Amino acid sequence: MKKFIILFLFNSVIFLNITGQKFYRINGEFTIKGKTADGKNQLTMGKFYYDKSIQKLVYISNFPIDETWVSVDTNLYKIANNKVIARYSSPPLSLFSIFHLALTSQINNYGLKNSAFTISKVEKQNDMVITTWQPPSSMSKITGKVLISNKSNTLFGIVFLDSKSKVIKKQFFENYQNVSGVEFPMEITDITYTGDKENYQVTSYKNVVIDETTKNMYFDFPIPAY
Amino acid sequence: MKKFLLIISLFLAAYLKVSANEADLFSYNKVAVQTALSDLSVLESYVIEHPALAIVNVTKSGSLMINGIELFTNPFMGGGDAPLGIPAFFWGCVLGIIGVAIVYFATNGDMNQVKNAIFGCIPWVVVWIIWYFLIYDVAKTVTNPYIAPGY
Repeated sequence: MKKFIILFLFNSVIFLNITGQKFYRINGEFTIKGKTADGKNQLTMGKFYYDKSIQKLVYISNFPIDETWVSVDTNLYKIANNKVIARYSSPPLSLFSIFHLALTSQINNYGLKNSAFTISKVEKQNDMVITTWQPPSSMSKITGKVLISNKSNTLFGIVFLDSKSKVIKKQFFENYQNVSGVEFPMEITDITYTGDKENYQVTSYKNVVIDETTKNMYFDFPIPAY
Repeated sequence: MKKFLLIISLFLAAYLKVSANEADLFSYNKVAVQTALSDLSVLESYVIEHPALAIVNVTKSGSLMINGIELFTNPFMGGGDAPLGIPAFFWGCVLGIIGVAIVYFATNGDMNQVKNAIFGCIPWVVVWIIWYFLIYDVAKTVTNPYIAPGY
């Protein structure tokens, strides 16, 4: 009986340890390549830092110019030479970033689980499970559904539709790597639609690190006086 | 046992309904994307091989123009005009009234975007009202020792 209890407690400890593991930091290198339908280009390269307890999303670009972008609360700061060059009001972008979703295990539903959207159906097609998130009926003439597809229990794509079921935006998450226990997509492709034209953006990540214990000054990047 | 398996199969079949139309939405022309971004990929390779030279080129030009390509730098614009490239109604739906205000400022007062955010905000307000009057109020009444039953 004693052996049984010890074995039970041992297994419980292991189970709690596994399920209770909390990741809090992610950092690495990024490259963003983008092209809009009206001919705007983007090639931005640098490093990113995110700590979910601080909720500051920090992009330190070294190309095409040295500048830092920090999203914190509802502010987006552009910093260069230790000065705030510009400040914009914005949604709390960090909370909807792939980094926050990865650290909080919300990638599979893109954080919609805690929103006003509700699941209207789940479908399976080949190797994809497609979940349709429906806005409330009062909004059905104005807004559309959000469809999320998962492959092998990881997020593959998101499709935003308007009220006429026309695609507004598609986002694809590919080249997943398991980084210290966190499944992270190393390539994200965005396709947004302006009329019949398509805008492309591909974001690539490399050298991703989970729970880095140093580099605190980057994770909590100080915002210079504005 | 057979009946059990049959019921399970029927349940799964109903739950995992197959629809080709919606699955088709999750395809994209990867070659077209790569082709559209090919000049940027060339530039990326050049920068990786010669990082210092590339930055000097940008600095000398006095603008973010390199190899004839003008570059914008905001990593938060997801290829479109909306914040993160996500439609305004989404922000309204998830963030409520604050989301509407944020969309207003983030889009420099684009009223079409703001209108979408307002409509997105409506269910958020309804949920909040239900929560406040039905759940929070009841909970307060039950747990507040200073409110006598019947009030």
